[in-house]
Amino acid sequence: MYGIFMESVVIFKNYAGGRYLMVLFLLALLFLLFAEKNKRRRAIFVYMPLSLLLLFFFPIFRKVFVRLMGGEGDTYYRVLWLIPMGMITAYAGVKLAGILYDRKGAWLKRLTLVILAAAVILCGKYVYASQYMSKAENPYHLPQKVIDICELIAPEEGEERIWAVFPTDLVYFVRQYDTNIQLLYGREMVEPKWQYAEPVHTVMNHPTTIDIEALLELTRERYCTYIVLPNNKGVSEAPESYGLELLDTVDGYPVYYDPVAAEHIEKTFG
Amino acid sequence: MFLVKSLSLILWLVIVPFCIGLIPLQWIPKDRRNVGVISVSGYLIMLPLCWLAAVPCILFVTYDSFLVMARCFTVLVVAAAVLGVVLSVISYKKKKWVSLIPAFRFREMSWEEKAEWLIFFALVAWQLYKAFTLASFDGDDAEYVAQSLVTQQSNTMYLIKPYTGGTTALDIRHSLAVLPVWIAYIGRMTGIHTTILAHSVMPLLFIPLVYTVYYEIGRHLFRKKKDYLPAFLVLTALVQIFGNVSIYTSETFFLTRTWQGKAVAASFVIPATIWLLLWLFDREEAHREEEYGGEKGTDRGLWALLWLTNMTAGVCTSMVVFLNALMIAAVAFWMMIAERKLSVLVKAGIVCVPNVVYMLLYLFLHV
Repeated sequence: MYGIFMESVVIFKNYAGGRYLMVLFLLALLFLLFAEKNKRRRAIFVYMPLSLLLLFFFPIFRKVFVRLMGGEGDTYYRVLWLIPMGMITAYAGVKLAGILYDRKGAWLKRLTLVILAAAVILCGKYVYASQYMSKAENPYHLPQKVIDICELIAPEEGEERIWAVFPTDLVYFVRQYDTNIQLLYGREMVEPKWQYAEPVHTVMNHPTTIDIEALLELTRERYCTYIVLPNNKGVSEAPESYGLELLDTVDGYPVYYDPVAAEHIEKTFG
Repeated sequence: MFLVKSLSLILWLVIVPFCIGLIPLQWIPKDRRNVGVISVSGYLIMLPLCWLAAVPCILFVTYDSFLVMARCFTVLVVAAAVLGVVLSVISYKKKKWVSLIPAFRFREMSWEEKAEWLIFFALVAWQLYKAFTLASFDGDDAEYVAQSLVTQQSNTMYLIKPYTGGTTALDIRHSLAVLPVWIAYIGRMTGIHTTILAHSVMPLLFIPLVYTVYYEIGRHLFRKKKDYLPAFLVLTALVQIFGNVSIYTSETFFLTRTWQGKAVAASFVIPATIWLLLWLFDREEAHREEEYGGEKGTDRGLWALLWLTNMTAGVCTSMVVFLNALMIAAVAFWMMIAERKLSVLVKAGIVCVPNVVYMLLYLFLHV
């Protein structure tokens, strides 16, 4: 039980991200505990959050949650979404400013609001400075190089869907642009946390060199006609020596067509 | 073509939900009826209608299930929109109609209040601008966004693996949360690629919708001190913008994955639930009559909206169906003690019926 409790503590700490915004929220909650006299609002803004916080740290609740969610313990942090931290912080802040206005006048109210706004900014973290944010290159908000590669290999209207292999860093985006391009491996193989193994991905994921012979052996038996190689790795042998045709190089990614696989499809399916 | 697509978007994302949102209007207290409440109500009705149209098709239609769903859903939303308009016309003829434009007393405001409103609108505009011009990388898009596109391009629902394109048995885990199907439907009706819809259009819809909910919460909390409302909204907006303290917070989900079901659940459904709980419980008896313009009011419309909010949670993500019920139970428990009325708990139990049905269906399909 203690172990489960400590897991919840770690999840809470990770949620708070080592910043002081959570402290600001807890102070707001404490303030409302004493300052909020309306019993209905106390129920919504004080007792409900406090009881859910207690529940969050309660080991049996965590066990039930994980069981109900089919073993998805890593999403336990979402219980904290139920506590309206932003709303409570803002409400407590404005309430405090209101009390000070009644007692000391308008300037102290203004000063309090400015200090609170500054506290939120300093204790928090600007979302648009996140490492996951970048300038959108197109209305799809996908990397333009992925769109260019997809345009190069996508089947025409009415043609059969194709199979392709993409480097790990591009697999997330391909089928967000065109689902007529099917992938031998997708995101489920790429995410380390899921620890799936897929032979084509194993070859493509080699840190320095792609073994072309091993790769083609696997891709050809799975009717894969297009291969996009990484732009930062070497190859064991020239792909052309195995019959591949270089269609283009997009942003450093060589895009190959495999006529042998196409012939194999023609022979098998007519 | 751009103009036609833009007009279609306005039709399906603004006009239709607005007309649908007119349905519960006469059951909402008079002083709270406004454009924002109608728009939010419209979505709280339209998204559950999508669930009702999509889930039977997912479970029972083998071929072209999305085509069948699209036809059923179109009939349902058009019927609901017509019903909303008809009810409003009847209400107007009976002279029960009230103005829907919120009383925005800009001229009467102090300079301070005006400045706060301007800061708030600037913060919202900043979020909209950033949502449109910045791309946010999130691995889950390979599932959610591709799912919408698969639906749009293949006319099937949850039968093709979004990651690779291989066929699969019905994906039960995700198939009850049909927000990607709704996005695919909007894509089909407007002719816009679902990835553009998800990444570039949906934030422009959901960000204002979320702030409409916060506006209503603030309007309720500061109904006796209206000049405090903009300060509350400014602080709320700042917490959203600077709430990216970790990748787990609802604020991070709101502004970096706005189009995903879990983000909509965290940033729209949960605050909407709190908003309705405040409307339902945080009122003095004397004020209740005043709210209905001297008539004997009923809360049935608000309870119905709470029921629909629970259904909307199911459209977004299975987990929040459970979590929302938990939150309602916690509030109802403390309200029962505060009010010393067991009926609060009973009513809260009734609005959670959709959650129970959803969870039973989820478990039944998993077994």
